[in-house]
Amino acid sequence: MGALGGWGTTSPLVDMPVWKPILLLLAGFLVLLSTAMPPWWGVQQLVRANVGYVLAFVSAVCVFVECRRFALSAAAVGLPVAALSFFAQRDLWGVVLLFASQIYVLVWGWLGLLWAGWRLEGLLGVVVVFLAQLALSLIPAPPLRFANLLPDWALYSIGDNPETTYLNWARFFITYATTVATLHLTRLAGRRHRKTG
Amino acid sequence: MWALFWRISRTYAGSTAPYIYLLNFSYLEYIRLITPPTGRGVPGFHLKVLALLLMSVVLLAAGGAGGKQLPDDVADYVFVEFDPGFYMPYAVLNFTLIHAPVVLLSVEREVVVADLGINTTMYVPQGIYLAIPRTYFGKKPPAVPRGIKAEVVDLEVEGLGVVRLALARNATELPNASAVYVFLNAEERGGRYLYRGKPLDVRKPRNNKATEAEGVGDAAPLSDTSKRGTTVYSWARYIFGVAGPAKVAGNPRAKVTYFVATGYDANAKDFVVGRTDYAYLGRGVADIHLFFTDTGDPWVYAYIYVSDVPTTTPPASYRYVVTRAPPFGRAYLLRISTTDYEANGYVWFSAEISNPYNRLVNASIAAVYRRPSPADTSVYSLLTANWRSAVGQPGYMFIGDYGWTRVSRLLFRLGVPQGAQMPINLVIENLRVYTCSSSSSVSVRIYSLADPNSAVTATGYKYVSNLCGPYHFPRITGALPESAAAPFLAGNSTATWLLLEFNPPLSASHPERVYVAFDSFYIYGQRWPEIWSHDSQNWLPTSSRTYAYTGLSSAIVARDYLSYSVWPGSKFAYNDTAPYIRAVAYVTITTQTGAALIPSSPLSPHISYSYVPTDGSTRLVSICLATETGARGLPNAVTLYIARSNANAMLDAVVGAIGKALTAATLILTVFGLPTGGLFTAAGYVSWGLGLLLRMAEGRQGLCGPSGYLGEYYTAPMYDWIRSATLAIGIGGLPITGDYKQHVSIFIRESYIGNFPIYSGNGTYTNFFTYVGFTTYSYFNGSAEPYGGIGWVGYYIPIS
Repeated sequence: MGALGGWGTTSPLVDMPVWKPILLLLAGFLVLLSTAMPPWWGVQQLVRANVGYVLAFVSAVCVFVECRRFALSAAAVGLPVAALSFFAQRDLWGVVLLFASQIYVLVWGWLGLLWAGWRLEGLLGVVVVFLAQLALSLIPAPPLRFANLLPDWALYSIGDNPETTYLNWARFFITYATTVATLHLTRLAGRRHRKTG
Repeated sequence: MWALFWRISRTYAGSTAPYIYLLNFSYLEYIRLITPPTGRGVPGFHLKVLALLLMSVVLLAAGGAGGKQLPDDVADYVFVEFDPGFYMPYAVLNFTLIHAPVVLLSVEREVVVADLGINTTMYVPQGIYLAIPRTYFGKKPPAVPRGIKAEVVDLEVEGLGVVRLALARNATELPNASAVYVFLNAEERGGRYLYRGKPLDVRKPRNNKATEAEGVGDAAPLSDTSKRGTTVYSWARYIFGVAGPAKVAGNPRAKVTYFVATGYDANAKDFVVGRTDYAYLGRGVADIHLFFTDTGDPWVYAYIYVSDVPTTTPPASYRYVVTRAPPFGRAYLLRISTTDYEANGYVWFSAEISNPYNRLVNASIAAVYRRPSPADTSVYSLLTANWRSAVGQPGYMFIGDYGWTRVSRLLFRLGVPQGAQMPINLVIENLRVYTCSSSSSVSVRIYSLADPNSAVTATGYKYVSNLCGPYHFPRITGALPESAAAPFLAGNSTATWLLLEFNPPLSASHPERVYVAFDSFYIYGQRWPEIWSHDSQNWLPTSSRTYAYTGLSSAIVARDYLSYSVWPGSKFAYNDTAPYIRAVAYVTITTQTGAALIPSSPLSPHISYSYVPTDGSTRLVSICLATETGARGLPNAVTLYIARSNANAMLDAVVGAIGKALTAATLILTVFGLPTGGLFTAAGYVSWGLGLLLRMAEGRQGLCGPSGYLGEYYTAPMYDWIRSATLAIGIGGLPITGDYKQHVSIFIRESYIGNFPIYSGNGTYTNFFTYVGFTTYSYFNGSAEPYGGIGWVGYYIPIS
């Protein structure tokens, strides 16, 4: 009876087609993969990684809550930002784009996750999401360098670290899984709270 | 179809003017017949020029004393490997002398110009040959005509016999002596040279005794080798390109002009570089290389002025030299060796070049100087510094993927700086090639385009039995002689082109691919940093710590010199459309020399980094310069100065404020316990992104370098880039008492950005940085030369 318990035409949790989260995850993954395309100036990589990961978070949210407007707005903002990154230069407009994409992460990614917790279980949900992320972050990181999308020297040159970079396809899927797990925990905690309370 | 096209016959009645025939065909280069201007006319002198059309060999028949026709078919000639140098060669036949044309044989060869990423063909010089008709060979060498003072050499070729050559040095040795040069661009098929479809009979003589004319002669030892009890025991040759070309016309002779230092502007605090007829060369000049463009008549009338003391204008006494310059490609390169007297005095140089067609003449000069050797035990050797020129940035490993093709030659451009000691040392680390060959070994020949006859060779072996496999070479080391670099410097370029020639050629068929890789490829040596400020007798007056005539502080001496090409990332396999080098970087270490015992503030050493991009998009965005520290006499304080390209105080403030806000936000999140360190969570992602944003958007400066090093880095903000950087170094305690030279390793880390990913450099140069100290001022109190210090300016490698 888990969140991913059934793979029918609709999600077992919310009344929405199952292809929506899959489509979002796939779109996010493709955007992430495009970070490997040169030039490797950093702005392209961070902007696309931001859009890619946010689409994955939105996808996870859409597994649990009805998210039509949330998903549409995320795609409507994120995809043009990702497209603009192909024209980004190392100049002031690049900085503006980078900053915009970071706001996008905060609003649609992080606040979106908290919003999903709120929608699921109210204030308790928000707290559980927070605590679940804290708990998950204690997991020791296995070596994932094999999945890095850029060579080490290119990562160093943009100020990143090959050991901890999120420009890594394996980390993308694990992060997706932890996000799903966070929301699943929230749901379980809510049910347990309702049963006991 | 070999047909006779031109027949020129003319009687030479004897005149003082140089005489030339120039036949210019569509394919064939040109040919010259030159007689010296002071030659005594010989009645009945016949000159017959036979030219074969369809370009081909045009061979000249000319009789120095008899007038005999040369065969008109290239198949009738034997091309004997022999370099007559400055001599004018004749074949002896039946008591007469007949021109033996000097053939400069070039073969069209495939070349991958590695720096430019292009695959092309070019004529690669193969060597110098004498074209001798087959019928001239006999069992016994013929007798030499009477009255000939020329040097006589017998060449024996297996299966043909012996031919006797008379080599004349000048018109005194042989009346109307002249030489015929033929540029022959042949093609190579199946290991044979062909010219217009006909094979060339190329032979090696059994007894090729090189003439002494071209020996790399050293000037005689300088007589005065001691100064205040300090004796120089060993000497070395250092080369400088002292005068750049300035176009000039003139008829019948052009008085060549150069760009050289002509004075000093006290207001501008800089040397004045102007056009002048005279080039000041200074003391200890061993050789003068005069390089000039084709005037159609390569006679040079040179004046070597000499005086016992340094002067600001040419002295009255001079030596007059009239000589014919040998060709160097399509230009001319004349080497004039100085006499003992000149080498021990102060030399000025001027020249006129015969210019019958009133063409624009470009002439430039490189001079080879004798200075104390780096290995000398005296205090003078402390003044030498290091130089190195490498393919690729620090730590760069070259991998060229050439696909399913054939690669015979790879051409790389390196730089030999001003003041480099000759010969040049060369190193290739871990060269390996991937090719399909039945042979168990592949050999490589590394040579300069300026001198294809001097090469460093090595053999690589395959350790697998497959047809296609990697061949590994041992560490390749060797030396290239002066002739590998001097012509380039004389031609006003510090770029030196080196060819890697593989035998057998590397080849592979689909799906196998040809690869060439090496971990590093560099040339290096030591250099004499300044031509005129420091020689064995006259040193800069350290009591004033300024250069003579200039008032410029003597603290500024560019000593160690490092240059390298900046390459794109090797992740992108090499192919014909791959990017070429993105920039050429120069790291120069300026420090005090011979100035003070205690390095003080204006005398502190500096490491400066600059670069010249090859395109519009390549920019340096991060640099770390560090030096060894932690011991007595090593640096104990550093400061990095950055020249930014797009510095904008307002943007810096705005982005800085954003950065501060983000830092504050991160702090608050941390205080409230938000997990920011996770590596697999959405929260972890947010903190990673914010951190990366901060690192990219803001310029940052701080300490850097590996353990045991002291250095600073600077990373440009995203809207800016770095033009150049300078690390000022504070030296702590004195290393030792007495005269000393301190070696310090340096570390460089750099990142460039561009339209293509550029590999980030990261590497250490062991003991590359040197500085010196002296216990006394008294070594260096001789008279200083004018314009001292100009020798180190302007050695950027021109980028075509």
